[in-house]
Amino acid sequence: MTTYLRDMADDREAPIVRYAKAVRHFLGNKRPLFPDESLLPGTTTSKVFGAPVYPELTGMLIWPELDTISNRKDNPQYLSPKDAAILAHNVFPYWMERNILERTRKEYHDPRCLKLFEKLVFFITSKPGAVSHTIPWYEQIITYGTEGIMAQAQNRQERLGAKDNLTAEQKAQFDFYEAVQIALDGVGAYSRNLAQQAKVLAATERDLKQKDNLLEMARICSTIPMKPATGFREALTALWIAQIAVHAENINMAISPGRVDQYLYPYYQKDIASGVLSRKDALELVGCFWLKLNDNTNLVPNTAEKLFGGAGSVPAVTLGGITPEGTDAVNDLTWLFLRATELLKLRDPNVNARYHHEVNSDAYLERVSEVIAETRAIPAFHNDVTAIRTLEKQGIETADARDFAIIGCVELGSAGRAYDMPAAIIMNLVAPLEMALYQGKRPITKDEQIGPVTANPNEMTSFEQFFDSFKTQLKFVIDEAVTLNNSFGRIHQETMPPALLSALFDGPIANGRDLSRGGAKYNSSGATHVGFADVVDSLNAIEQVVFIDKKFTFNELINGIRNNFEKEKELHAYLVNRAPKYGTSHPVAKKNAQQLISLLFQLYQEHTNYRGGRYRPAFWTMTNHSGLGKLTGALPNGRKAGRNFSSGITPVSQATVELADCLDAVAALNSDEIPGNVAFNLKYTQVKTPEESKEFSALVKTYFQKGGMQVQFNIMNYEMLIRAMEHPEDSMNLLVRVSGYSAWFNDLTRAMKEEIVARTAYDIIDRRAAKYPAEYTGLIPCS
Amino acid sequence: MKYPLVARIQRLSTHDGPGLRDVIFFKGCPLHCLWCHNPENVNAAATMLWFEERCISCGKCQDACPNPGHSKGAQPPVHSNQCTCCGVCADACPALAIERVGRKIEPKDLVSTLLKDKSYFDNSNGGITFSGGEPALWPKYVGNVAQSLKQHGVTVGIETAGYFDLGPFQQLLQPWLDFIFFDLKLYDAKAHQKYTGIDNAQILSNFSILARQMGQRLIPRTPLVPGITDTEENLRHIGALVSKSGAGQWQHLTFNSSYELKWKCMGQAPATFHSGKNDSVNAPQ
Repeated sequence: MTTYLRDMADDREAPIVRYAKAVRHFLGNKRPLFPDESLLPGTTTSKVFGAPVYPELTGMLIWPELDTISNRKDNPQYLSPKDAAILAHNVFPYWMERNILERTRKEYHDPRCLKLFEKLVFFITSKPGAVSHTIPWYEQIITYGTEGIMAQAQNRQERLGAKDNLTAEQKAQFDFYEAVQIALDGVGAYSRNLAQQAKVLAATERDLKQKDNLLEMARICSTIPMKPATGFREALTALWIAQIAVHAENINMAISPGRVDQYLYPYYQKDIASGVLSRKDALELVGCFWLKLNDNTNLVPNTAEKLFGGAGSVPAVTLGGITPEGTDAVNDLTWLFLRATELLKLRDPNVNARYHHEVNSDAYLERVSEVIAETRAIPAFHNDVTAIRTLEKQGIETADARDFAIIGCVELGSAGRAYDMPAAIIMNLVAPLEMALYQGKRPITKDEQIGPVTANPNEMTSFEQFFDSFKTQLKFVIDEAVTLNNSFGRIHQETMPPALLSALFDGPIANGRDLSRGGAKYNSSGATHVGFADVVDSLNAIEQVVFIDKKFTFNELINGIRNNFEKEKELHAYLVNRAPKYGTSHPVAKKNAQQLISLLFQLYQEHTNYRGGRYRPAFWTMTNHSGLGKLTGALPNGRKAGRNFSSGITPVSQATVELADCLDAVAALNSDEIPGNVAFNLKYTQVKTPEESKEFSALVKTYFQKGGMQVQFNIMNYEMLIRAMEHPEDSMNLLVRVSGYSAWFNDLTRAMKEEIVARTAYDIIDRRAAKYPAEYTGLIPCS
Repeated sequence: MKYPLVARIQRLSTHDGPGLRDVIFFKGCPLHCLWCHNPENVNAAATMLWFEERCISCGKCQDACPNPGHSKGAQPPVHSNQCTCCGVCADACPALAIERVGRKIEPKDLVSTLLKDKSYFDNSNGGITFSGGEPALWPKYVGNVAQSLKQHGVTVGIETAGYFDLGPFQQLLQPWLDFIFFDLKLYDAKAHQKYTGIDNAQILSNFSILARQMGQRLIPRTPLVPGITDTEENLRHIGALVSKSGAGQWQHLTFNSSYELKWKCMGQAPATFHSGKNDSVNAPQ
């Protein structure tokens, strides 16, 4: 890409055409690799397993780490000296001033919001990391082939007429159609190279089975994905090549294949019916696809490892649920995908099971539960009823809402139609809380006046006054984050609009606009939140302890947290044990949790993004809750300095003793105000016997009936996780659920391991918090 | 109506009958088993527990105690002879290290609390189980609650040690029960007297009568206490009794040491048990 843009591009061309040509150049020159005996061709990167570098986006961040990234302590990523030299001398210098971040800085004169972002402890906008986090409309390329889509674009381009006579807007459309054809041509070029290479390899292959496999791939790649797919293997190949190609243009963050069991099903059904495919062969193909989706990971600078630790590229696939017509969508292919998930136990893809408690069968529910019990971590469960309703309330048509799939971690999007960018903002909720406590300052940024100067807590006479301050500070940081995201978005539109991804979407071709200009049928940006439970519990503590019980003054409370409760043992005990906790049925806790959800919903929905869509709040945290927790002092809920925050929407570790209470409290949150979805982590000591599995299913079903949106499990007890933490050599294959994705336990930072250890584990027998090992109480945030 | 005190409600339990069940533990038990797993529920009146590992030694309990005669020691005043179990110290404790076990709940309030979990019961074929203490000591109250629950379509069961007056039980409680877990601890009358503090004649008689009436819906259970109830002789006798009774499948409850903590929280030393001879129990003085 860099070579083309630096040495070969014509700067007078429209950015979208120039960029599409770079994509075509890259794909046409991409090495066609067959690194193993997979039934699917090609690789995402130039390595068997690799992390692509996107210097135009955030790839630049590893410049200072080129010498250390291979050997760092947390999750090292091997970079050969040769590749490091190419990056340092040929690639990064070109992008130094041209990456999205620097272009934005220059264009907007180093704005306050950008400075705030670069402190990292207020909010992060992932826009420098670009167009990502979405579900392409792969159905399109499978059904029509690249040639079919190119014909559509060409047709519309011709209808516009000669370029010279067009208005500026029509010219932009003309260029867009041009770019679509160029980029798709690149996909074909890559596939033809794969076909050629497969033939070459087959000629010298001694293993007859592999020889046949290579010849079959050569046959398929000579027409797929250019022409419509005819069978299951062809459809799967088209999907996989499209997934590779999309990554030439867009960063490998949560580009999600969506409802694979739905759009691949007609091909599966046809091949099974005609006898050319057996279930066993289909399972093998699906297994190959699962492994292929694992062939790349994110390039992660050291700091980011603390915030997004152990994540792969998190392509999400979504199974089950209901059809756009509202009928049961579970089919034979759903069961095959579940079987592959159970057998392979992989980090990626991020497998998600939709479950509609009125339509889907108990057999399906119980089968998903079994797979979770077997893998201990995957898939995650999503509630169809609440997800569809919350999307409908965002203006998504019913049939489109029913066709939602998961993007990346947990985010909801109407598959192939909605360009949602749900990870646009990652907001640290603890920041506005501290700013409300310290009148617009935070201990970590010392004397710097970050937000507005709000009232002095010592002079407050009611909780409402404090909440007003909190609201003011929250609004301030949200406004800043939104401003920055919109700025990044505009720079994107002007510099690297994604023609290829737009071609694989419902909307852009009809609208003549690429995704970054709002070409998709639906648009939104998402903001997720870190520290939800800690902030709710802190609000509870302030309301109950200071203003209702009047046990301690606000001054005493603030002194306590400033001193990290070193001497304030009684205050600390009271806060931990007596203040109401989110995750219980305490009315103050329930009120504050819902109030915060409603407030965030209202503050975000007021904003429109640069594509004309609204902002949507969500609650998942990856490992930000651990990384940011490390940097934050003590909090009014009794959490001590440097300890982990709680993950996603999950109550604070050990704060809620009864599982039933915990489920009810999370389910009670108004899902209509959480259009971005939640990550709710539950740890369960074991699910072994058939009865336990049935009761496990019953719990999920009830939680969903009560309005819970999502739940994901770690079926692990304290002892097992502590052993894994102390003896990493014995736990090479331990897969854990982090907050919306899975990770290898050994890839996580120590702090994040501790967070997973300390999560409340509910005992299978009495559904209460299992006894926590005494010698590790230091890992509990509020101990 | 005489109200029992509720010790606690355990939600979504799995080992007290089919499916997910809420279990209500009542206070008061005529038996005093040495191995009792819920010793705080034996006394029908309120009981004070002190969780030493939670205590931060702040002395708030001492300051709060309204009893002028209590000793100002290092420990909370809950285990002294002077303690009236008023619970004021528990309210004052910032660390929740003191617990007053036993609260009065109106039957209709108990019913509405339990019905909140109905969807869990419905999805798992679960329901409600009354336990204790001895729930059959309170046939009118428990029967009243059970009847309401039945009317709401919730299945109801009971866990009993079998020592109660059969008349009121049959009249007020039994009609609403879907099942009974009936404990048969020791067959030998003398041993029963020795380890549980009462004679077992009434228990055995209640068992035979109820087994005939309830059939499979009465499930006999024997806790396997090492060296005491798990002897071959005892199990053979109970087995014979069960097999001719018409009751459902006999269940054995495995013994674990989780009871020790509760005895300690009550300020008492728990008994310890060793498998082998009958006399291997180390009873506390």
